Amino acid sequence: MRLSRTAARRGVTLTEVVITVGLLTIAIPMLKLGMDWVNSISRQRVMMNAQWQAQVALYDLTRAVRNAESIVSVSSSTLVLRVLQPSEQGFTNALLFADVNRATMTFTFVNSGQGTHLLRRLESPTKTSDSKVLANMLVNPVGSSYMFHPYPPADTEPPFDAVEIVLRLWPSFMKTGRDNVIEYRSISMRRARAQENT
Amino acid sequence: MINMREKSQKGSTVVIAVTLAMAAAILIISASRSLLFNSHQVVYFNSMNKVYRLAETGAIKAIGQLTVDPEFYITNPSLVTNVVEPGEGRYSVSIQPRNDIVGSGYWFVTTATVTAGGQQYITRLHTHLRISNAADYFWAVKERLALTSGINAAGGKVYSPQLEFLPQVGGQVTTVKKAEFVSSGNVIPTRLSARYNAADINILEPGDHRPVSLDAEIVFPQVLNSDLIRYQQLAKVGQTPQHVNCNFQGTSPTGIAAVFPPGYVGGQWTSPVADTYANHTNDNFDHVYYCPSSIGPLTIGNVRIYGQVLFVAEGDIRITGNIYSESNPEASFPGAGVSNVSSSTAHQAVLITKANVVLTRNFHPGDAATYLETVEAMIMAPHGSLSAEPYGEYNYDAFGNPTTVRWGTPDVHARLRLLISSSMIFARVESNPPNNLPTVFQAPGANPRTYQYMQSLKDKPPFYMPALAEIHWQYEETVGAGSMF
Repeated sequence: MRLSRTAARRGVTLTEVVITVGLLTIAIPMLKLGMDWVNSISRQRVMMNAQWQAQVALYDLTRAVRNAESIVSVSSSTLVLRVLQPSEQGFTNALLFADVNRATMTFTFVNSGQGTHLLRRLESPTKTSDSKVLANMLVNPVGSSYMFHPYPPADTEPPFDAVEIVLRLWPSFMKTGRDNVIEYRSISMRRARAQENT
Repeated sequence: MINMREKSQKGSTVVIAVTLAMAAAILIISASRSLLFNSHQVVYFNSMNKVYRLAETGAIKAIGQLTVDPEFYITNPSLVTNVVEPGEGRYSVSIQPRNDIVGSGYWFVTTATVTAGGQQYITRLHTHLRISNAADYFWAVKERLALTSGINAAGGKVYSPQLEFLPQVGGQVTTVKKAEFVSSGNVIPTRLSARYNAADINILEPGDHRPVSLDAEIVFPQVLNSDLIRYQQLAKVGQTPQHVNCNFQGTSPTGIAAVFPPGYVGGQWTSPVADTYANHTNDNFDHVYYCPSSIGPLTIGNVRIYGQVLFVAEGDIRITGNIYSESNPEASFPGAGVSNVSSSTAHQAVLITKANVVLTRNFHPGDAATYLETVEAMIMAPHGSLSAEPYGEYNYDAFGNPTTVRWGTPDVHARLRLLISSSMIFARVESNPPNNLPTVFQAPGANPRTYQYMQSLKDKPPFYMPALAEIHWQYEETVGAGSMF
């Protein structure tokens, strides 16, 4: 009797089984739910980081067009600006407008085969500097999915006054379809005009 | 033993509860960090856009003030120093005249600050610009402009794509502040001509005293429908009372009628002929008379202007006689005094039209005396022409077209002189007889037509004038950008 009692105690009672199954029935979906939540939040954070990068890039592009001396050329994947570099000469120096202080700023969508990015290149008479942003995040800008377009659209010949900028974001980690591409759009106009010739 | 099991179960419950609580806390913190990140992101870009807009607002406001008062930033520095825009932020504008970047230009540095979430966002906007106040020009014409010798416009510029200085007559010196033409047009005599000297064509600016070639035509203030609508509002058209009037005429070259701004109630009504306008108000902001084309052309002549008065017409403006600006520049301004907002600061007539300006043949009475017709007024007709009506009768060809003019007896044209003290903008100046000024005003002597710049237009710019700010270059510098984190 003692033994059977002991054995019974060592074993699993029906009540315990029921309770355990009940707990697991609740715990496993909750765990799954929790993991999905964590996963979702992590993805959201990465997505927000990508959006942040896109917004910074869009702000940089928009401001570069506003500050440009002229918009040299616009194609679906490339934007070329002529800019002045006040940081080189200072704002009080009349040399601000000298050729030595002029530079070409080019934004190009690059697809290297190993990945994509937006390349920002600044070429001045003395140096060239590159920076890459939005790595593996952008939709290939072809056809109607252009990244740059003259504005108004009918304006097809340079010099251009304004540019429409569209960054289409589709980060590679997103498992969603292309219908979920996020667009960042801006129309920016340069503010400079030609200098008089005395 | 039963107690032991109960304790053990209690212990498991606590561990599970703590674990779940920690998991929940981690999730909540993670979620809140994401929300916080998102919130910071929104605040950051909102603030960056806000501070940029504020800087542009500050610059635009300063440009607007500069167009009506070239010295406002010196006389009223509070208008550009730590200006607070409620709900937006604050800005300051440093304004310096600069000639090295763009001729007669300004350098604005607008510093705007926005505070959001305890962070400061600061943008500095560098702007090189030039204010093309219409009154800066003594005479600007979109087509050809031929200037007779003897012009006195030391304070005003002349501009035309095709600019011509006619040969010197009687040793008279032509003086202009600056002469501008367009490189695709031409200037006569050519830029390197020896005639550009202090004894013949005396150009004061730039330092080489020669005409300036511009890359592109100047865009002048326009008189568009939107401008007319604005002037209608300023003249209170459709309200009671409205300042609609198309007829401002004295009785004769000696019977000069007084004309005061519509917003003036006071003395001096009979100087020498009374101001007969019936709807004067006591509102200092009222400076505009409006003449709709449904009533007719605006007719003005043999008047003396007190204060700053704008005559705006949808159709032609017909000048039938003298337009004098009161000669005493400092005394008796209409309104409540110069310290009051929008009270007149000078005596000036400003004629603005979308159409043409004609000097009519009503001035000379036809007798044997010589008369001087005087026009002291700014004239702005950027879409129209300036011409004169000959006093004689036309001869017609077989097809009924006017050919030559049969002068009256005596020849009135030989008894007419003209004095224009002005700043003028036209699309075209009639250059062919019989409607050009040299045909009508040709009294004997070296100088039947005298042109001079009306300096008070620059020193005391009239109200409500269109002006253009040509932004040569603008650069946005981010000085403080807060933080995302």
